[in-house]
Amino acid sequence: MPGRIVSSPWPALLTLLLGASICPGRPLASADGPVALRLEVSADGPRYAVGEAVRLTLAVTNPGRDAVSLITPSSQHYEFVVWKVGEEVWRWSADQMFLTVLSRLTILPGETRTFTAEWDQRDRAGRRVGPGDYLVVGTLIGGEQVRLTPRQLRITIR
Amino acid sequence: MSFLNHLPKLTWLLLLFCVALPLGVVAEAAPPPDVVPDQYIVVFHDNVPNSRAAAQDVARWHGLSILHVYEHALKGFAAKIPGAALSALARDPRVQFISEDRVVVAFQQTLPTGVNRINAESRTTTGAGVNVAVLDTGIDLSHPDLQANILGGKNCSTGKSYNDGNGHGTHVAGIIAALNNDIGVVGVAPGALLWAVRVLNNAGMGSWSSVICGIDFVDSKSPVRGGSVTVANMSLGGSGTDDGNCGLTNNDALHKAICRAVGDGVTFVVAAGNSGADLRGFVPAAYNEVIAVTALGDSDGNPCGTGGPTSYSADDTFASFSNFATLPADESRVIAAPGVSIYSTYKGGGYATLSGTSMASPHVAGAAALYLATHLGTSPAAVRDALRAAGEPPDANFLSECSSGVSHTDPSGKHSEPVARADSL
Repeated sequence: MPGRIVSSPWPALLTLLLGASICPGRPLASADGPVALRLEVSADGPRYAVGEAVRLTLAVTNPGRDAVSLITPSSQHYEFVVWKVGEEVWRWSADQMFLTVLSRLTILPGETRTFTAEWDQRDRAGRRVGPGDYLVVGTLIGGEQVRLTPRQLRITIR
Repeated sequence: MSFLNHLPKLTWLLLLFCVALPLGVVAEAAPPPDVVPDQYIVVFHDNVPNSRAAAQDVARWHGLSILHVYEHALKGFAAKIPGAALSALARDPRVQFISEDRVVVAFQQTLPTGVNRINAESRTTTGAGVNVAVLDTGIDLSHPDLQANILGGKNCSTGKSYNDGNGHGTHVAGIIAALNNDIGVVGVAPGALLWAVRVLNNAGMGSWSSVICGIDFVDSKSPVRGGSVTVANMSLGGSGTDDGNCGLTNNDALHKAICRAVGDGVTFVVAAGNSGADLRGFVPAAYNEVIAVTALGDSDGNPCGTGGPTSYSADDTFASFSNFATLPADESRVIAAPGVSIYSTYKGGGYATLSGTSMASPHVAGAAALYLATHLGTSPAAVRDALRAAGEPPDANFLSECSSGVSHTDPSGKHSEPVARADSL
């Protein structure tokens, strides 16, 4: 059974936390009008055994009639962050390297793009995390250009 | 004599296009030399309902062999048409006009603005024989503007070879060492030899372990280990910091690997990053052992700020996206180079214009190759110091080249580093 998508958006503070380290010095692009992309975060299961791989998916849909482009400061287009009790436990990009080239992600009208990551239940220091509830946040890098709100998902490790 | 003295500076033109010369009647004069003999483009009136059927009908009637049928942008076809059939065909009511088929192929080498801006073209040397490793997405191994300079490589990422499936690595490689020939672009050091070290996948992503695999390969080719790789370019990065101890304090294997390779004689030139932030949080740029390269915006290949604005700055000022240094230890190993709208080689034998400190870094890697070609055995630290010493200082009229004003300025107040210059190396 897939993970449940929590409908309430994250507060603006979280958006800032996610974007602070990757936002360029000035907006690289802008888009007029309301939010133009729909984000959904899912996992391959809501409950996991300790140590079991957690496969995450961020689906980005453009429900509008116009293509939407986001310009990012690197080849990183998405991010997953796992939180527990307000503390960041794991960040997908921390284990990755990216090209330092300005990049464009374009979602065509009606198109859905999916981005995946796998969390091995280790924290930033490489230690296995314990049982409990965790919050997974997924977002697009550069999403502030179209005022996107990251989405969240609750999973349980038993 | 300069190796590029004969280069036309304005030229980048890549046209491979069949040009239609409208014909009311068949021209009597001798055809231009680019006309394809007995080959024509027959254009139907727009009201012809089915150009494919009409083309086949005309071809049957006149015994023609069709080369192409056009159904969308225009209605018509191209075919070999003997002179005897041409007049009859021109009278067909479906035919609007007939054009000679011509080929215009203009291949000329351009001098990219970035290479021009650091004055690499004024050098009498080409970096001949200096080995440069490009840790990236691979290099297009059959690119005609690079192929002869590629010595070998290593694949530490997905796929089965170090061929470039992204395009970024090919772009970087071209800035360093695109050949000085009659096509495409020329690099900063067109005589340098390239190693394609593929550490990121076709999406431009990769794990730290893949990047370390690439550094391990570079070190295996380092001078201390009997190899000939003396420069490595890394137009990539991720989150991290410098512990000031080659990774031994914060368990950073990437840092440890780079320290070893630098100690073995390889000068590492890396992108500072594009977050408009202090580079201290971005590795490998944050490591004290590397040369970190920030991005200058330049629109015309010349200093003095007399060109138009770029997409991310005024001419000859720093790109707004570029990271910068604030710590004294970092400021002493940073240098700037053109990184906005840089035209270079791309995958599939093509060319593209890209922006980022990814593009700035290889200008400096190429300059390092130029320097090492005439200063064999120079240590990475000495190469760094030489590059900085030869660069444009901030707010200076370098070499008295500007009739008024200075070579470059920094309205942001964040960039005290010199801008790379190859002409005074």
